[in-house]
Amino acid sequence: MSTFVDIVIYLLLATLAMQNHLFLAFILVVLFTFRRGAVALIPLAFAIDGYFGAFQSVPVLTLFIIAWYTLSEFVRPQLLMQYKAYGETA
Amino acid sequence: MKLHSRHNFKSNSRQRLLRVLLIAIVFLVAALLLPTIFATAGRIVLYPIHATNEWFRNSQARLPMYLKSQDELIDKISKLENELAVAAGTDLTQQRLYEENNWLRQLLGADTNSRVAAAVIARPNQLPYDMLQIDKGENDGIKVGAPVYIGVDNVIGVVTHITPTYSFVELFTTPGFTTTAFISGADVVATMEGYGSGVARVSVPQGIPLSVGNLVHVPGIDPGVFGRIEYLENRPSQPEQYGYIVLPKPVSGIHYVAVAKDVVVPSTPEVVEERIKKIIAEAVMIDTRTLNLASTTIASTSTATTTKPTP
Repeated sequence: MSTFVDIVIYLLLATLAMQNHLFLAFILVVLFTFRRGAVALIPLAFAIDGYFGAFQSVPVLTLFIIAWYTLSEFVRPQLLMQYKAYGETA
Repeated sequence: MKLHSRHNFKSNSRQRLLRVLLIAIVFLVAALLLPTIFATAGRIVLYPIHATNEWFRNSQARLPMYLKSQDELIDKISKLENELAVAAGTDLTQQRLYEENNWLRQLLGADTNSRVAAAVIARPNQLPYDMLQIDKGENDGIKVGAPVYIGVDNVIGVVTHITPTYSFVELFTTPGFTTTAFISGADVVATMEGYGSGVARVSVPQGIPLSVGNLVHVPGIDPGVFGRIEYLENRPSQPEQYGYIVLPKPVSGIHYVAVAKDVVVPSTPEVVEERIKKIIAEAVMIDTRTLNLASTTIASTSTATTTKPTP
């Protein structure tokens, strides 16, 4: 069930990004990152930038997702550890 | 053990991060070098989503119609409101122009119904010299002898033949057509005769100060300005001098005329004299503002002259 929800979020994210609803897409990016990590978002960013021909100039979405992935890899373990510690004490 | 595993987790995580970043950067460089290939790949990968988007956007099916975004509907309402505002503005413009047209027609005396507007349907060279055929006739109140105008007071000829539906107008410039004319400036009454091809001429004895630009009136018709003298033929050996008048518009350029409903009645000498006096009075009338300005200038000049210091 959890995987199905993640797939739906992923597809919804792709649809919103293609329709230029960037604010809603960002919310789903944050949600997806904390559920599955941001690695899976990098191929999607490549595909969307390729679709819009952004590699002819500056692929903003890809660069943003790579930066987001780097940030999340630093922040996510801390958060997960806090979550686990909270879970154990609780 | 716990510390060891945490260290291992951090190390693995960092290695994974570096690996992913390296692969991403390699792909990024490749994409920047070969953008077409990545564009094609992006189109292929995202085709299902693209197709779904297009279906939602353009399909008239029930589900897409139901799920169409509120923004789109708001945009559509806004666009329709704009169109409605523009339409209302156009309606106002039309109403304003209609009222302005009525006002101007009233100002020009167009609503007095003393004239009939007619279109010229034949002219030289479809007709003999200096004749016009107009599309209004007896059924529209046209009578033989009615003066024909191309402006408020610019008379060019008279109606000479009518049928129920059309009429013929003989211009003053028709060869052999003679009429009495008053030349303002020279203030003399003379005979004007048609010369053909849109030209008429007045002949006056030598010694009368005839000059180019003098207005030529037809005093038998009120109002009746025919035109200005455009050319002067003055040979001292001849007993007369001639002034040539051309039509204000070329015959080929006259498309509409106004025909007076009242015919020209033979004027008495008293009536003609009265009209000539009126024309002269209008000609010698000087604008008071110009007069004041001129008198002020003269006064200042004379003051300056009198106050000039003597050496």
